Amino acid sequence: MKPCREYQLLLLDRAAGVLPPEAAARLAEHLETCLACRAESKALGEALSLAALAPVSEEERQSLDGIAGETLRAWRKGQPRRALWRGVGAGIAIAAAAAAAVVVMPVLRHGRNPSARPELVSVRPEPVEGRAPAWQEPDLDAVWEASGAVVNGTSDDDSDETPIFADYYDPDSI
Amino acid sequence: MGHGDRSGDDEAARRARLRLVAGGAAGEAASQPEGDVELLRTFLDGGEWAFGELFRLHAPVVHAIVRRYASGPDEAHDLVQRAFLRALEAARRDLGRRRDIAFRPWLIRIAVNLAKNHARDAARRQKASLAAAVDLQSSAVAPSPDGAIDRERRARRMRLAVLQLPRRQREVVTLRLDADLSFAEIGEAIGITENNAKVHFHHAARRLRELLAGSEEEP
Repeated sequence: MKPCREYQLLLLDRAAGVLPPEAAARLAEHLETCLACRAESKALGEALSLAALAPVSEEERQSLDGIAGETLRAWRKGQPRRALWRGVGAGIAIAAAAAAAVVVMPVLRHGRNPSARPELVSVRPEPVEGRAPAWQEPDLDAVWEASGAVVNGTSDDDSDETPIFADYYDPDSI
Repeated sequence: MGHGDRSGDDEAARRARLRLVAGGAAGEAASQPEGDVELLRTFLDGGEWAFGELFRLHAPVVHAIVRRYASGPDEAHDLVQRAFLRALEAARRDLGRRRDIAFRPWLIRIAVNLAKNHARDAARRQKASLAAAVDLQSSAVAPSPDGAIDRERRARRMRLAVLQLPRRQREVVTLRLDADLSFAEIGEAIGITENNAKVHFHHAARRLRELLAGSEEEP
């Protein structure tokens, strides 16, 4: 027995817990007289309640509180490394400046004596407009989809999406 | 009153104000964006207590998101920690460029991505790890006799079915069922409209309901 077509959306909204009071009252009134919709409402509710996880235990909640400190320590630990990389970057810049000086100084010295000036090849850099683009963190969704784990993953249309565990086993065989 | 006292008072007042903005003890679930940004700025300026506030406000939702994909509490905690570290790093980078960021939707999105990547890697490494995750979720329920065993078997099947849903449906269902987020918040976090999030939930609910009906018809 199929539920009434005009009440299907209300049944789903009720299962999702977003049915406004007025519509909830209308549906409740209908459910009193319609067996099929009552069965559908019960089945939807049961499927979702079975799919839900068990509530977080007190033990889990307490141990979660404990990881705030660990996270902070991990953050602090990451700081010197970032500072180190900044230092390495500065070192590279200084080395590059020194190398440039070694190359440019003889040229400048020869520049004072026009007769000894060597023919310079063009060393003028291409003009750079603005700043170099900053590194962008890759879009995890794009990486995820490119991994091939999801086919047509960008589509909002469910019908042709492949789930992660599409080839997964029969749960009863575990 | 010395200068030290005054700065101590200022600091206390600032903390109290931030707690009020962030929701305080009464507003555990949802902080206000401006409160988050102020807390982030305070933390990044060296006020480590502000991290405690951010963590207290948002760790439960991050934990709720990742625990379905983790094979144990330690793994779930590791994912929570990684989500926060990644969000803090991104916040530090972006707060330098922008005045405002939406930290909570950002953190939720990071948690969703981390969890699904973790699940994908685990599935590639060893398919049984998913079974371990579902077993762990089962073990959290107190054992009970007869009819409860059958219910637990069906619950196990449904929880696996959630992980087998198409990506968007799975994200919306887990954010709704596990993290108890509104469809507006779900939409903001995963980059779809509120209505679209609801539609994905409807599709998923129908699919789960059909699966349950099918499994009950099996001998």
